[in-house]
Amino acid sequence: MTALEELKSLPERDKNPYIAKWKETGGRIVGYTCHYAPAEIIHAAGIFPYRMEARGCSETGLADVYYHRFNCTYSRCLLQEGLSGKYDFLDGLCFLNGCEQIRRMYEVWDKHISATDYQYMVTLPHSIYDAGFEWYLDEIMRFSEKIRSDFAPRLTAEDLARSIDIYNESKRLVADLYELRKADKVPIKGSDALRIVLAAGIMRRERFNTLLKDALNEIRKADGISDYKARVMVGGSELDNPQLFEMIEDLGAVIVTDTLCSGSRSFQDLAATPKNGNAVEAIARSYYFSNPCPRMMGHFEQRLAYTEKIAKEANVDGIILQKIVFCDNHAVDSTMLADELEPKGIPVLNLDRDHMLSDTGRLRTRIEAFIERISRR
Amino acid sequence: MAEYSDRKDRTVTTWWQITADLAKYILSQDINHLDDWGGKEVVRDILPEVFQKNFDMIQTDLINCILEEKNKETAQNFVNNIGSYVDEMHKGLDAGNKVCYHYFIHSIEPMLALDIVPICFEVLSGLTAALYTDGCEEGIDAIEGEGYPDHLCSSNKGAAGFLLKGYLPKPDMFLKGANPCDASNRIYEWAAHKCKVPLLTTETPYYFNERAHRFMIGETRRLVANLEKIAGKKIDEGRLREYVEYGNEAVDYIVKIQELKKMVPCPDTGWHRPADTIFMCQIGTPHGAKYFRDLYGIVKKRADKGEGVVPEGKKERRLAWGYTWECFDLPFFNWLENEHGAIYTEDTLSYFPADVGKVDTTNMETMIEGLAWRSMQMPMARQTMSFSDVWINDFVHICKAFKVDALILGGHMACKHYWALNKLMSDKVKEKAGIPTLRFEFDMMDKRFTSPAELKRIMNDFFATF
Repeated sequence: MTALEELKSLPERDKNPYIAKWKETGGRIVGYTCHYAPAEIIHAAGIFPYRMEARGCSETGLADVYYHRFNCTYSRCLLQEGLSGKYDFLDGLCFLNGCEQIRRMYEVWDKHISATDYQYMVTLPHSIYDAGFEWYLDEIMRFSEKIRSDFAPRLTAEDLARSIDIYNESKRLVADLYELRKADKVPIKGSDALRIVLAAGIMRRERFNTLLKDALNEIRKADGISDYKARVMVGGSELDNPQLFEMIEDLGAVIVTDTLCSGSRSFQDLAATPKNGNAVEAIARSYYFSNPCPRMMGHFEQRLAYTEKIAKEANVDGIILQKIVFCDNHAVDSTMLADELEPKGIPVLNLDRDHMLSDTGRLRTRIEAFIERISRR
Repeated sequence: MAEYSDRKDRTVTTWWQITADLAKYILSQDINHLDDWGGKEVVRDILPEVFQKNFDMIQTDLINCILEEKNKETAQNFVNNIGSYVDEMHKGLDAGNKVCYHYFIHSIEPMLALDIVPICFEVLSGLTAALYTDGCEEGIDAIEGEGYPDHLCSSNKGAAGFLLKGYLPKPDMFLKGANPCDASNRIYEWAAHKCKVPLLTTETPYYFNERAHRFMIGETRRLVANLEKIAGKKIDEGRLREYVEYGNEAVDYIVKIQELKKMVPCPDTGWHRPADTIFMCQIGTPHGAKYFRDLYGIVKKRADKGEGVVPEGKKERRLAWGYTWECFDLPFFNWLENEHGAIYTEDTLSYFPADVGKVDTTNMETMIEGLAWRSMQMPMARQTMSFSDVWINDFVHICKAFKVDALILGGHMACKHYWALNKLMSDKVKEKAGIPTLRFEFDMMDKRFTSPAELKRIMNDFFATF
């Protein structure tokens, strides 16, 4: 298997060889639920930070006992996977108050999923400002201390600096991947690119970096796709499954970039490698001040500017903003974005979906109509 | 007869103003039901012309509910307060003062001290839903017509739609605390962006310890500084003290009324309970203090006589609402009393923990500290800013302290955070207080989601199992 093939394989949890291998050697795994979780700190403690996902979940019967039909299907699927034992491999779990639906899972997980020994809550303010950063930094420091006392008493500043370097390396490599996709002849399908960035969350980061370095060489040598009808960017809710991307690309478009928290936004601002400074602060700063999630209040203009910039750089013909039904943050943000971008000549499709890709006939029809609208040929 | 504004941007508040005067007029008649006066059609024709159109808008059941003898005094208090609220608001607007649309649990004392007109966004939806047959549905439909989804909160959607339609005064700013919730945060962001005015925010910490209080003090200072900047002047300590004292008085009476509701029989009527929450946005105003002072007087009088509010011969069943009321059908709570003997003890949206305390008015610093603490304890803020256990434990306490027979977990469809703890609360209350719970869905301000008839059917079925 080539590096690219390995990255694209995206195994589900029970078939994930990286989890099995890590566990065999006595390694610990801590899951995290949100882009704003400081994965570098978990990594520095010698733990495998696992980005939580619910790929492959096909029903929510267990979760629906505790959650309701008004909760988004991503939160329900994630809880379902926990309740059905699929996350029993976790030693700990770091929640954030990223959104209302995921943060409330803390208590359900605590009371009804006994396999997870440690749970943490890191709270993040809803705006970007100095006092908010101080709060977040304090939260991250406390989290770091907890991780140290629970798992790694000998965690050092050097460990943190090393993890920052490893995560920064991932960010540079992913930036290279996105840069390559800007070409007229697109060297990799968007669905495969998404598989690659999702792979970063389910394997040790050192392995990911090694594979991606090699995979980038393969991608550079590819002929590239030129017979596409349209270049598309995708934004909106958490997306942990390439199925929707595959559907879009099967209909003749090629996805060349995204603004997803599970995609490009997880690989943005590099944390400054501290020389004599505070490594935890460097990590906190890189997350807190990066392009804000729609849950952040008062930063719509920043998100709009970022969306426009990314769209222009990748020379897209249109943007698909997909949101999981009952996701309030993306529901409003996507509509606001569409209101601003359409008059500027950037076509936008707002698309409702469930986490488990269903209602595919409706989705396909809407996407097909949109591609027809923006088609180059 | 008063003259009413015909300005389009005062459409909603003028509706209320006319309704308040109309209700005062009807309450001054010696009747207990519109039928005593010849029925709705006849009454319309004998009303002064200025009231007739408004009379057509008002829910008939609501008029008959407030005409019921046991409800008349609270009804008078209710309509007096609406009148005062609108009068004060219009006075501020006429003076050309800056306008701040704010979330309902914000302390408004700093705004009042800076001559900023506070207009509670959620009250615009809630009071309109409570009074009129069509509620705030015109506003809801307007915002949904722009592409915003139905699963957002109607308490924000109604007002947002009214803004779109030009029915409300132009804002100079919006003010929103971070909790609750994603849906309301996003609507405030939309509104500020749409109106091209600043969105002021305050963060809420996740905890109730000293660290959290210190942070909240900082947030309150930051808010005052931002308000001062927009108002173009510094806050005057003496004026702030004046409003904080009104706020202290209101909170004091709210807590006292709460204590009286622990009595058996319960001396407080249920129909106005959503209004009590709605009027909490007036904590800090003279009319807000008066509303809760007068309400206390009414409830205390009944308590001193040992009187309850359910019909003679009916067994009192004591309910707590684990989350929210609906306000599109206030007479529903009166129906619960009359039909099922079911009285209303507490709900999340009006419950104050007894240790909320008074704001110390010694100096500016003590007032900021006190307002910060109070803002962490305000109904809904307290329960939503933190871990689920805070909310759940509050209701275990309420069910025991108020001798509750059943916990009603009527859930507002938009509140995703609530739906994610509803089952945990139900389980814990059953375990710790040993009482049954009823879980069902509605939209608190839009009767098209779960109709009044359906609500009654749900309750009938529930009481049949008692």
